[in-house]
Order: sequence, then structure tokens, then C-alpha cells
Amino acid sequence: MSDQKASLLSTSRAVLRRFRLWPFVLILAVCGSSFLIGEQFPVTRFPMYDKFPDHTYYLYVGDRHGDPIPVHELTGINTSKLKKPYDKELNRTRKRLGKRKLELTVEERRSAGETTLQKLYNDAPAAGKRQMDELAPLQLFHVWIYSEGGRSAEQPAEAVARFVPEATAD
Amino acid sequence: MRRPDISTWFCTPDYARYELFLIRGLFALVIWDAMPSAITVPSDPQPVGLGYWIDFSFLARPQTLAASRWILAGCLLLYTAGFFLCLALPIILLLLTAAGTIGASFGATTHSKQIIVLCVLAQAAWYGYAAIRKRKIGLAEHRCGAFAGAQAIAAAYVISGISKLAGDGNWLVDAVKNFQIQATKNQRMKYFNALSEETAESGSGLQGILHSGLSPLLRTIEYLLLNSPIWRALFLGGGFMLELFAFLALIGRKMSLLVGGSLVLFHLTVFEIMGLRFRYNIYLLLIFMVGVPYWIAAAVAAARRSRHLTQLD
Repeated sequence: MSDQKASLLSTSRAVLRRFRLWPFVLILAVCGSSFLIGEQFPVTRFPMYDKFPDHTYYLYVGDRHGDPIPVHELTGINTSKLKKPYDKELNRTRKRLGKRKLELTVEERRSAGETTLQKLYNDAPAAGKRQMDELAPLQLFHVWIYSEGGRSAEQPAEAVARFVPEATAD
Repeated sequence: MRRPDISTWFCTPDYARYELFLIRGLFALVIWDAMPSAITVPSDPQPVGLGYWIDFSFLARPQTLAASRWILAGCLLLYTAGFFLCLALPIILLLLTAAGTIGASFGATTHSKQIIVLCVLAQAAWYGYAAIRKRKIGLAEHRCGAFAGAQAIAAAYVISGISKLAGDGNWLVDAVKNFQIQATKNQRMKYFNALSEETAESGSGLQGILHSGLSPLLRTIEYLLLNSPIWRALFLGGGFMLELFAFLALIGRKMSLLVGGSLVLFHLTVFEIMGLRFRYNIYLLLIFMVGVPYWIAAAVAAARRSRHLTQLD
């Protein structure tokens, strides 16, 4: 190591020690690696609450008439959990088709909806399954929410998928 | 007026021995909770990070995962006891990274557990450094180890704040404009869980995780945030400033309690209103910043003192 480099290193260490700035070495290392490497587990930019899009959606499950059913009471699975597999499938479809989620038609969302209803039925306890059999065919509704004049507005619910449990298929 | 002594600001806190034991023990419980008991390998994996080079899917086999959990349990016991940390921490890091990498390969990455991995990484780096420098692991080294965890948490928040600054610069504008959409979604999803008339009538989407006695206060906060852009700007802007200046938590215990406590309150309020939960962040803030182990240790010491005085009387 050249004298100049060694001197710079020892001065930096002296400054860090004098002003007790060692904690910032770690903070700078984490920040630097996050920006250099990007989103590669376990390195991340910790994007907490960083996305506030001007639209979002929620799901609910309906019976054969389209009337909503209390999905958590029947299955123990809440609507936010229900949204996870649906959203995952939707992301795949979106990437495959090169579209934004908002641009996907009901038909293009159908496969995600069917997968979600199938998973909901499979994961439900026996009592929940029996009740769902009575209400079948189940329907999955997708509702877009968007911002309008500083307030939330909703689009009409879209029935994206139907599901008939095997037990009631005949 | 006495001027603050800046030279002591970022010093390692004087953690007591039993406090360090509690810190490690509670952190070990969080790590154990974060390790999945079952892993599903995606049929169409989208590898991230180390997953590009190493196929971690072997960990998803039930026998392998069960063995891994036993190894993790052993390492966590060693970690809590403060023995063989140069061996235990890298193994913990490897197992968490492997499980997290499979989880992140689903295409929809969640960031809830990365703060734990970062905390373990910082501690592993510190103990590794101490080993290279041939330092005998004693109280001072364990204090630095715990402080490395606090630094890692502060770093996670600072980078989150900087990312928002480095974005298109419209984060706060978008957040204030669209916050109520998320809250409305939360309220609707809560309603469709149970078709509860009460939820429909109140129009509130509160998650009910905090004590019911706080409901009036939370409903007022929710009302203000949903109906007033100024309150939204104050709340979200305040949260952003807390993130950006989270490193101030490293200035002694009082600042740590103030910054850590404020971040916990911010997380809990957002969770109640928007349903976005960062429970591992909350656990780590409580352990490393709010100083729950310190308060437990202080309470135990006070109880002991009082019993001792009673006996003397």
C-alpha cells in the first residue's frame, strides 16, 4: 500500500474514532450495497409504504346468485389472504401479456380467479366445504377502487371466475 | 445551560450482561418465528439473489427442512448463550437466506423478513471481525454485537427513506392523494370477511389489533387521515422523517426509545388503518431500540432490590 493511501486510511479511522462515527460505516455500507446490488435477497432497499398507486382492488366471494358470503367465517381465510394467490397469478399473466394489471380483461383474469377459488375450497375446513357445496357454484368478484377528486370511488363488481366443487359437479 | 457532549453520541450503550442475554434470547425467538415450518417451491421460479447461483429448493424437502430447523434451534441456543457465535451466526444467516430466497422466488417479493437477515448479517460481520482481530469475546464485544443489530435496523429505515427521496420525488404527493384508497380497500375487505353490519355502518376498517380501549382514539385518527389531506401529509411526512433520521436512535438510550417508540407507533397505526403489517420490524424495534430487555432487566432488578430491603427490615 502506498504511503498516501495508508495515510488516508489512518486519517479516516482517526476521524471515525474521534467523532464516534463507526455506526455510520454500517449504515453507509447497507445503503451503498442496496443501491448498487438492487433488489436481490437479502439485499433490499426496504421499500416500506413506498407505493400509493391511484388505483387498487379488493376481492369478495359470492354464492350462485352473486350474493357475498362471509368468507372468513366459512373458511377461516380472510379476504387479504385470498388476494395473495390471485395477485400472484395476475402478476404472471400481466408479465406474460406485457400489460398493466389495470388493463387485464375479465377473461384474462379468469385463470387467476379459478386458481384462487380452488385454493380457497381446498384449504377450507370440512364444515366450511360443506357450506360452500350448498352455496355453489362460488363466484369470485373483483372490484377496482380509484381516486376521484380526493375521494375513493369504486367500479361495479366484476365476476371473474366461477367454481363448482367436485362434490356438487353432478 | 450545559452543552451536550457530542463525542459520546454514537457510543455503544452500556448494556448489562443479563440485558444482552435477554436481547439475544428475544431476537432468537423472532428468528425462530421467521423460519418457515413448510416451504413451497414455485413451479415457475423467478430466482433472486443467491438463488441465481444456488438451487435452494433442496431445503423445501420436509426431511431437510426438519433437519435444518433442528440445526437452527441448536444455533439459536448457542447464540442466546453467547457461545461459538462465529459458528452459530453464519449458519443462522445461511438458513434464513436460503429460506428467504425460495420465498422471494415466487415473483411477488415481500420484505417483512429481510430486516431480520440484515440484523443477523451485521452481527455475524461484527463477531467475524472480532475473531479476525483475535479479540476475546467478552462483555464489550457482546455490547458491540447488540449495537450492530441496532445499527442494522437504523440502516434499514434510512435506506427506505433515501429510496423514497431517490424516486420520482412525488412520493408524498401520491401518498397524500391516494392514501384513502388503501384505507377504503381495507374497510371493504374487512366487511366481506364476515359481512358485519357494524363494519358497514361505521365505515371503519380498523384491524382491531390494539386494545379496544384505544378504539375511539384510533377512529378519530382514521377519520382525520381519511378526510383531511393536511393530517395525511403530517402523518405520512412524519413517518418519512422518522425513517430518514432513524440513525438518531443510535444517540443513547433516550433517543433510541424516542425514535424506536415513534416508529412502533407509526407501524401500528398504519397496520390498524391500512392493514399493512410489518410485525418483524415492530419486534426488532422493541428489542433493539425501545429496549424492552432493558426495561425487563430494570424491573427485575427493582423487584430484587425491594425484596432485599424488605428482608433487611
